[in-house]
Amino acid sequence: MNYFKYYKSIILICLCSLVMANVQAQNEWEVTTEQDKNLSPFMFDDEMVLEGKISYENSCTSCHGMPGQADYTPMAPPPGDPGSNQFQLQNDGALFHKIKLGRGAMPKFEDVFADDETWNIIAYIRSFNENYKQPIPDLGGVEIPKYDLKLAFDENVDKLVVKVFSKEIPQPEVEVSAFVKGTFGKLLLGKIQTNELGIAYLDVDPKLPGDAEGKLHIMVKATKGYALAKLNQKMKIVQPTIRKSAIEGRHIWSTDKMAPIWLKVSFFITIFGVWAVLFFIVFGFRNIKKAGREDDVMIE
Amino acid sequence: MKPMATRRKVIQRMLEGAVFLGGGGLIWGSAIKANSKSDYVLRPPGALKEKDFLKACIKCGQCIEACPYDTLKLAQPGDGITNGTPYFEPRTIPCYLCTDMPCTDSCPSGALDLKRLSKELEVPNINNSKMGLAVIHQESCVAYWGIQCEACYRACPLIDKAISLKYEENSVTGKHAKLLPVVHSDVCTGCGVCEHVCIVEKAAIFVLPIDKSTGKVGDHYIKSWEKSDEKRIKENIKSADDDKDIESAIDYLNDDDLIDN
Amino acid sequence: MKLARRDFLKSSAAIAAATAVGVAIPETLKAEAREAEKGWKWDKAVCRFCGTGCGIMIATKDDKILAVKGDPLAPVNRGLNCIKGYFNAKIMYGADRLKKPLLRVDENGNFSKQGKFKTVSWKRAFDEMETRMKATMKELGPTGIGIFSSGQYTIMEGYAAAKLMKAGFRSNNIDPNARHCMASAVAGFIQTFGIDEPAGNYDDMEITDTVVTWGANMAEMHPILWSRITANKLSHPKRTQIVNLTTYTNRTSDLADIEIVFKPNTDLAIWNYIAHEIVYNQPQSIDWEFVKKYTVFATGFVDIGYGMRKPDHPKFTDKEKEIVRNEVAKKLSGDEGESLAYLGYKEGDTLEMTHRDKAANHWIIGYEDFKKALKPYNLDFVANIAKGDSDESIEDFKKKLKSLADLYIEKGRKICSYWTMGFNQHTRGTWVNEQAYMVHLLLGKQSKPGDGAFSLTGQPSACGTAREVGTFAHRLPADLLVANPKHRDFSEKIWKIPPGTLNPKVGSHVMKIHRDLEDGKIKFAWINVCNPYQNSANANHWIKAARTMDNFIVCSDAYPGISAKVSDLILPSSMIYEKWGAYGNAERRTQHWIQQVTPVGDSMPDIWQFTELAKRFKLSEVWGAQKIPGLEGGLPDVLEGAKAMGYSPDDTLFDVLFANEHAKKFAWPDPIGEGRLNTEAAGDKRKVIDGQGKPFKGYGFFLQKYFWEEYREFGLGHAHDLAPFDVYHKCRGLKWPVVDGKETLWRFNSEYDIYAKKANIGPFAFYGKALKNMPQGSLSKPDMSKPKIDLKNKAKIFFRPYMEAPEIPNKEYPFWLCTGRVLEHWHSGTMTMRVPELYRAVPEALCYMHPKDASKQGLVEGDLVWIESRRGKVKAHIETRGRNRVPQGLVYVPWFDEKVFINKLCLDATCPISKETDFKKCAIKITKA
Repeated sequence: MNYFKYYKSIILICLCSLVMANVQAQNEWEVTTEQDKNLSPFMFDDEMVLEGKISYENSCTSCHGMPGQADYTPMAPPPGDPGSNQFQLQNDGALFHKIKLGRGAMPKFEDVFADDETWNIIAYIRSFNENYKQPIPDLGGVEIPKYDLKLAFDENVDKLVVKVFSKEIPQPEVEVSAFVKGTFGKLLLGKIQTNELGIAYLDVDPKLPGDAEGKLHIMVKATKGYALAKLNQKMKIVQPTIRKSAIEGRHIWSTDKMAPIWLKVSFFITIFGVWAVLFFIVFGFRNIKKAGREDDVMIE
Repeated sequence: MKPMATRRKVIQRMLEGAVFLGGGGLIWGSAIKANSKSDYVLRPPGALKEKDFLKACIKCGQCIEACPYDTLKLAQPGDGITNGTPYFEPRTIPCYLCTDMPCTDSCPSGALDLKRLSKELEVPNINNSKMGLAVIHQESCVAYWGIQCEACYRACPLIDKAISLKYEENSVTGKHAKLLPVVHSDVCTGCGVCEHVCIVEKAAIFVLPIDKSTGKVGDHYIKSWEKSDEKRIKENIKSADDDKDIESAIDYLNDDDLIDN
Repeated sequence: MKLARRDFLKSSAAIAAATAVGVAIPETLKAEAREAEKGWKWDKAVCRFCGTGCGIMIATKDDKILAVKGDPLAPVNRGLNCIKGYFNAKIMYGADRLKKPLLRVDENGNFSKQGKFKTVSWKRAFDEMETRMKATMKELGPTGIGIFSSGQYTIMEGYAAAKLMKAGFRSNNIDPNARHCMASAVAGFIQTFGIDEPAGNYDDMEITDTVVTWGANMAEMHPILWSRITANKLSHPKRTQIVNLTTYTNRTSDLADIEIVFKPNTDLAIWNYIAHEIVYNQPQSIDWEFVKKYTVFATGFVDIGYGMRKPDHPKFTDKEKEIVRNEVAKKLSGDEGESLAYLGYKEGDTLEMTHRDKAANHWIIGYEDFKKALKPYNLDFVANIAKGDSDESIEDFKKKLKSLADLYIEKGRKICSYWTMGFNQHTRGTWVNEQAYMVHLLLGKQSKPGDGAFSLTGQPSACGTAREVGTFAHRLPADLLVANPKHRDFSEKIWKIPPGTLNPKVGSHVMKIHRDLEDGKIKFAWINVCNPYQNSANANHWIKAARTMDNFIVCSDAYPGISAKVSDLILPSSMIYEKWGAYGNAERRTQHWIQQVTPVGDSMPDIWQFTELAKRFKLSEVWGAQKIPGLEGGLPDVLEGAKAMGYSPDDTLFDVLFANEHAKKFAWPDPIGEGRLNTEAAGDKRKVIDGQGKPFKGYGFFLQKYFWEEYREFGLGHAHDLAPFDVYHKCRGLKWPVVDGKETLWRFNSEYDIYAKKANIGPFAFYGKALKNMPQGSLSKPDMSKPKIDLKNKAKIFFRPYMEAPEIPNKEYPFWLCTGRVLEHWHSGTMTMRVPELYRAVPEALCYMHPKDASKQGLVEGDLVWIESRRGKVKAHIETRGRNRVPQGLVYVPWFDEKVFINKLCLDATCPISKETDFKKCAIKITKA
């Protein structure tokens, strides 16, 4: 019964610890200098932003809301708006590390996103900052090779042939990914490294639907370390897709001009016949009425 | 009111009905002609003995659908085989002994049973099927003439085990040999690929059901040169029954008809 | 060595007659057409199919073939056949037999490569051919046209084609499908003996004690000969030993006492192991008397490439270049490092292929050098590189190799080595042929009854037609060569054409004709009795070239196959019993037959197609000066020479080559053909409208006999003697040389061969004349400072090292692909697939695969898979059971099936010496379809 007076202090202590925890959480989220210096090997471009947008909308909006709109979910501690200065003033490396490792209520994403996917998200976040200039890593004199891509199709074995050169020299061990672009998305053909001759081969199913000329819209990305090259090309690989009209041969159901004669004639005869029957009935009634009156007359 | 039917009309109607039913039945009966060929029909692998098979088969057609080679056929009225059951004719399309046994596997009623394809404690193996036995008619087999054929031997999925070659000198030419296909009944599955490929006009090697193509030696005599033959002993030699037939023996002995009078 | 009486009694009665010295033409074997009851006529002929050359008899009535039986008097088969021969009566009456000429035309009836085939008249067909040929020759000269000739032509047809092409059009671009079949064997013969074709004959199979089959599935491919070997084994079960050397278990292994499954290409190493055993461990087995008197040792270059085009050729895809790189330089593997160590190479070295153009060069070395080069090939080394079955223990394999060597070495044991495509279709095919002779010559076991290396022929007349008539890019009849001026003079005299007519520059061989078509260097090609678009490796290239480039392809065939499909003009051709003809089989037996029935539809014999075409070319159009790329000065104008011989420039090639005075002396009717059909000479009841638009009534003289008698003149007196035409119709064929009415059983052996006897140097004489004046040298190169040595009457024992195939399995393409045949079907199946029974027996080509390989990829028996190489891909069903049991890491696919067009995958690497494609080794991968 003495506990009654203690019960208030117990609650107070609990509340305090909660506040403490929150206060703890409000501490700066620090990253090591090493991680802070980390820079993206890819130049942020529209494609990365788009990819990042998709990843962000799948995984991040639930807590952080849309960047720049400050519509993040109220939590303790608050997730914050990625478009705000608090986020934008941090370095790329810090953002990268924080996404990977998470803290407290924020899960760690290092198993969910590959490195390049994480950079995509950062590219997306940065796109909301007009003043952002992506820092280029200092390569200490190493030149980033500029890749030339050449595409061909080997129809003997149904393979897409991708050749990666830099200044006429073939580039081995470059990671090549190829996609077929459709109306609503893209189909990944494969991710493979070039061989010692700088050539990568990717299987293409010859039954893929192409356009009216049999062309597929191929997108190829080649990247190794800091170097990146992309190529879009339409190639004649498959059979032309001839789109058939859905109402082909079904002229019976279309305009009067296309209707066959026999249909028109029988249609008219039927209509005429039906009306004729109706009139016959109507006049029949009249006759009955007339006959009835005559009958009356007769009976008199 | 006119009566609906007179007595005459009723009897007439009854007779008509009977004739229709009887006539229809006769026609249907002849169309079905069930079981006229059932002794010689070849069933899918893993099938139970014919009597049990007919009881168990629910004529669902799953095995026919499952066969990737369209080997199995559905018996139609007029085929002389129980209507709706699966069978195959090797000369048209033989069984190709799929190692994953899709037909046996697909049978819902157990008419085709994977257990029939497993020996003792082993897993089911298609090579254990006993759909029939291939037999060779030597006079119409050109290999026995001396022609170099052996198409059945080369086509057999169990080459060198179910069909092997026996070599014999050709006495007609004096310098060639005959390569004669010989079927081993302990291994042959009755798949019928041999019958299918046989190059003569009417196949010289053909598959018959096991009970039509095999004999049986009584188990009271054992081969002296093969120790393993003792396995056949079944210990059921009929003993002379004590009381019964002695009566007929006594009758015979008492019949005094030896001396002519 | 005369056969002792003891040996006589050992063999069966039938052999005794055949082994007497010189077999005279037996009077009893007169093959008169005998009238049986019911109005049938039986007449003798030969089987249409393989190189065994069985004799058959044909029953005809009312101009149709009723039935066929084996010829009981034919020594080869004595009345038996295999199931292909069994159906000889049916092959001409298939449902889709071509009956009328077909041309690709557009809607207006003009030729167009994109057009569809429509029937045209023979006149229109020849008109189109003439236009195209003349246009091509105007643009490119004689090297712009090519003929795919054949080892299945009759001898007369081959002779007519060679004469028309070489003497008429002055082009050497005529090469047979035998290039894919026997070229390595031919090169092996010429290099070793200086003359073509085997020394022994089929009787060896009854006499010998040991039969070794090297890469030859005789049970399926030469069934009647296998039957004879089986009979030998049955009558001497302990003494007779059979060894089967193969890359996969096949039906021949069933009878074999020893089966050796070796890794592809290691046959080179195994021969050297046997030689190593002889030289190092059992030197007393060398027949020194024989070796010193009749042989010399020789060797050649190793850096000779693989017969492919150079990797910078524009038509190669990048995938192909991964392999074609090896054509100019190859990194040596570990095994090659050891086998080429004698030349100073080691593993990892780059072997530059500097002697690609000098592949055939060879020179004489001493015995010490020969012995030194053999040093690495001991049992351990060879067993390790050669073991082909990963499930077999190395100890078992070594035991087998040792037994094989012991069989060869055993004193007094007769031994015959037989091979066909396993040796010949090989990037070092000539080498491995030479190695076979190396061992037999070292032991003195050659050219004797029951002893010898015997190269089996695949096609029914690759010997008789292609090789003996010389329908090759570099040959003239009877082993003469276009490059030799004396040979050209000799031929020009027989052909009665002016000196200088013949083209001295070697023409394009079959693969080169395909490659030239792809390069636009040939724009007119004529396909005769073969299916080059199905039978040539790397088919995607050639089919594209035929269909998309500016050229004109003519196909003479009886049934529509792949080659007909890619052609522009199809000429329906008569089949074997619809014309007079002759074939020469693997044991040098030439057999003739008479036309039995009128050809089907409007089809006409190939000879008639050549003669009708020849009518359209005047001398002035072809015998003027011609430019030949690579030949300085080109071909001279020989019209003056022609005038001097009495020809006028307006004479046609028909007048000069085919219907000249000499030809017309052979009158028709001729007693030998009394009452018989002869379409070319007398026309036939169909009165086909010919190339001039008139009903064909025959040329009026015995054209086929003229060809035969003129062709004979080439070989008479030069060890290629043939008997007169009439003689062959009175007997069941004769083995040439036929001298004084006697055939020759064992060549180079003075007891049996008149030419060897004439040489008069002892019991043997290798009297072949080619390549018998050779330089001397060391193991690595010739020494031109030393004098050349005359090798008259001698043969050569070659040392050849082991080398790998250019394309071997790696991680991406982990399986070897080996291609071949099945007993039921012949070649590309154009005839046998039309026989319903044979089609039912084997309707499709299966991919034979090891069950463990299949299950590793989750495949099950009967699954449909993609088989893919760097050059193409096809679908097939796999077979993990069946007649061929392959080792792990290898698959086998027969090529008779159009639907499984396996040649799209094969690599067009060839033996650089013989130019024969290696169809048996390339790398593939398998994926589920």
